Amino acid sequence: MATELTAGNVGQQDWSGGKSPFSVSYGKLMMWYFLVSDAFTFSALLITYGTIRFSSPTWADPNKVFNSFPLLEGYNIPLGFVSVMTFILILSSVFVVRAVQEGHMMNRKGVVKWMLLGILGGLAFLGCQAWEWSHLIHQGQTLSGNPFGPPAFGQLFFLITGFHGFHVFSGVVLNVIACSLAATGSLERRGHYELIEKVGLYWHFVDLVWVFVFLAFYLL
Amino acid sequence: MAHDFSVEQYNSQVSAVWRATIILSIVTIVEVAIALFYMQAYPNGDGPRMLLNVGFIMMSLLKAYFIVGEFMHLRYETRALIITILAPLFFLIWFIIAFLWEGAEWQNNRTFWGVEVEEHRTPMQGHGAEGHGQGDTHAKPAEEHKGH
Repeated sequence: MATELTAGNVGQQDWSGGKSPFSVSYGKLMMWYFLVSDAFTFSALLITYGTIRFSSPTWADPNKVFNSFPLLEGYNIPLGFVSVMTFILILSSVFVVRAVQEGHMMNRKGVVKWMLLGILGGLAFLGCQAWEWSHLIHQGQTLSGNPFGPPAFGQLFFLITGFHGFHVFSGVVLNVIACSLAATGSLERRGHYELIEKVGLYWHFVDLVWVFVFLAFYLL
Repeated sequence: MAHDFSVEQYNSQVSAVWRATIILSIVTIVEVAIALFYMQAYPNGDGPRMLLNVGFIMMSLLKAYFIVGEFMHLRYETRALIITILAPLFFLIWFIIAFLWEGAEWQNNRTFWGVEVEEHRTPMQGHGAEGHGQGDTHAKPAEEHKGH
């Protein structure tokens, strides 16, 4: 089956019923469709950010807003902490890919090990975000006021990173469920580790969204 | 499905994923480095940004390609599935153009024509509108003044 996929030889007869023309299971296909719709939700949020930014005569300078690092108070480290967060999320994504690959080899121990590392990365990211939020709130960036620029900047920051953080949180919950099902041998009895692939798709999507949140808030 | 995987396939996929990881890391480092260099060159953030922003967007799309293609494995799916997932995203092109255009138009209204929108939302008690500029929104509060 895997060789069929890479060859991509889908012909007319594949649409005549009896098999999936996309060569994926129902669950994986629906996860993909959900992610497409979720991509539009995030696009709408980020385009809202762009629209309001374009409509404002002034805007906050990200290099001056995001220049703090935990335990290094008083130092000016622009974009330092958010780079660490980006790496944490990328690595966490890679760990889950490794879990999917071990799942293809029916290696239960490998799946559990890499999933645990992925969950750890997700929790670390959430911890970093909690620190960043509380730091910004202490500096006076709230939903109603913002010392760095127009209040809309802070409002959109909390809305969009909060929505993304909620996705990270639900992704961690899904990963924990999938990991525990793998650890108890429940997935091995099913004969495949497709559940890991499905939650993995969601987890990579969270990483994908972060690329664009990072672009919109920290780089542009 | 799972048992069809040969060791060679496994090995090649594992190395493909680590390669993608390295590329993602390098692109991220380059992005942050460019942002910091720009900050050094223009401490007040008032330099030309056009080329810089185009570069950031291209690098982000490159990262998205590796995440979706390698991590989410979309590169290796059937062509029909790839098209089904990616084709709707083309709607985003007009979504972005139309809304950013609209936002820029609002800024034009505010800065050039002096139309203020935010002030309308603040509760106006008594002569609260006195602090306004010379915008055309002044017409109504001025009439109220006469009545007092």
